[in-house]
Amino acid sequence: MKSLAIVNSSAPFSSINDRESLDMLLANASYDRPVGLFFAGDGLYQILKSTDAQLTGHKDISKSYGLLELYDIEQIYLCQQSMNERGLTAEHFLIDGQMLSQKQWFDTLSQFDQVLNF
Amino acid sequence: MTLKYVLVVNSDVNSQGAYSAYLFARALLKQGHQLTQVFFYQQGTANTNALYCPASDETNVVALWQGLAENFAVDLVSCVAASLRRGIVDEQLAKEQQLASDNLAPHFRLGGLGEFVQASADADKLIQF
Repeated sequence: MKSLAIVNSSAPFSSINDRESLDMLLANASYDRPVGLFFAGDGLYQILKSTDAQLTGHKDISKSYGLLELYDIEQIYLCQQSMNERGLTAEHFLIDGQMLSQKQWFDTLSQFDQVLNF
Repeated sequence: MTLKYVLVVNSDVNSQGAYSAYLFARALLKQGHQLTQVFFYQQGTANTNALYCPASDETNVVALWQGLAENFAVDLVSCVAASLRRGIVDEQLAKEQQLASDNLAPHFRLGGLGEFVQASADADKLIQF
C-alpha cells in the first residue's frame, strides 16, 4: 500500500479546501493507509485554536482534528518558515506537529510515495 | 515499463488543470500505460456535469472525457459528497434527495472516497490536477 502525504496550504473559510482535505485524509486513514499531514503557508491558519467558524457561516471542523489521534495519524508536520513569517508558535495550534526547516520539509515529503495538495 | 496511474482532478472544468488532465490521460493511455481511475474531487466535479454547455467555438472538456471513456474504457469516478455539495447528482441520488432532476453526464459515475483510496493506494503514480 502506497503512502500518501496531504499538504494543506490554503487558508480556512475562504473555500472548503480544509474540509475536503480532512475528508480525504480520514478516508485514507480509515483504510489503514500510511498518511502524513503537512501544513504550510496560510494552511497553518486551519489549525489555529482561536478561530470561530460560525462567524463565517462555515461548519466548525476544528473538533474533527481530535479524530487524528483516533485514526492513528501521527505524522503531522508544520513548516517552520511559514510559522515565523506569520508570527505563529506551537502554542497557537489545536494539534501537535513536528516543526520542520525547509530542507527537512522536502526530505520528509519525499519519503512519501504520493502527494495531494489542498 | 508500463505503469499504473490514478489521476485526481480538483480543477474546475474551465480551468487549464482540467484540460491538462485530459491531455495527460490521453497521452499515457496512448503510450500503453494503465489508467485505473480518474477521480473528480472538489471543483473537479464540474467536469461531470451533463448540463455543461460552452459556446460552440470553445473546448468542451466534458465531451473530451466522454470520448476518452468510449475509446479506452476509463473509469471516470466523481466523489459523491463533493458532487452533492455542488449540485451534481445521478438519477438514484436525485430520487433519494427528492431533487427536480439529475445531471451526471453519461460515462461518469459517482463513488465514495473509499474507491479513490483503494485505487490510488495500489497505483504506481498518483497525479493531481
